[in-house]
Amino acid sequence: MAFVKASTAFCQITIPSIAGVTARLGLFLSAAEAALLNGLVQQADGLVRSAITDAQESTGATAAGAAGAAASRRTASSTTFRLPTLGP
Amino acid sequence: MQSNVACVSTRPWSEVGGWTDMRPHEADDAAVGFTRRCAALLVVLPGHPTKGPLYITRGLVRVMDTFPWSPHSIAPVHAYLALVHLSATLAQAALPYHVPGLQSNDVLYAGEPAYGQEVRTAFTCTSYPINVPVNPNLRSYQRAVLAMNVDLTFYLLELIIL
Repeated sequence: MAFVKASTAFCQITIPSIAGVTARLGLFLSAAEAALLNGLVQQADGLVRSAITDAQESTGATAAGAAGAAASRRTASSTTFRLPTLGP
Repeated sequence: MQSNVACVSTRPWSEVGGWTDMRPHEADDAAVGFTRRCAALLVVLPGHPTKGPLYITRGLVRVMDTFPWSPHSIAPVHAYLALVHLSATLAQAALPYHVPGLQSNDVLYAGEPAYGQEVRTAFTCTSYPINVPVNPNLRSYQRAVLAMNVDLTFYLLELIIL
């Protein structure tokens, strides 16, 4: 169980450093599933919350990405903000 | 003498960083996939003891509500239908699947009328994708209506079976 807890904590810390948003979200959900299957409810809850917050915050263009052409085709606002219901 | 060479990533910095860095249809498909996978996980994830049983689910609904969907895309229809499936599943007295050794919301909030009210109110969206298929391109519009009809048919079949 200690190994699972350590692995979950490692995933929660290191996944946000990944560049691709789809890879980040997929890894967040995979880690949450693994945590939930091992009975770590709080860790799974935190990972899902991180995934949803990340999906919300990734609506804005990043400095690392080629945002110009893609962003111009969007109609909705790209303003990023935190979810009021998912605060710490 | 061994030289200490810094490890430099060979990945280009132009890799995808956010939704708007992707091509619109790729971002829409990824968002739909994320919604479906997240909804499948939220079926068994227990609610928060103080913030409510559908605390995370409300966040997912809000993400889909504010996501920058590309115009004339049918992806928001699929995303909202995934949320409809989730609401129909959470409203059942017994959830269709469980994690062994884990009590889900059907056990934690069994028989509470407040939970049923929470399920009904959690999936209220401020913007519905009803205007999304409106497209001067007739083929795209027909495909959108067809996809929506197929998904709604499956949803109605689920309701009839349950």
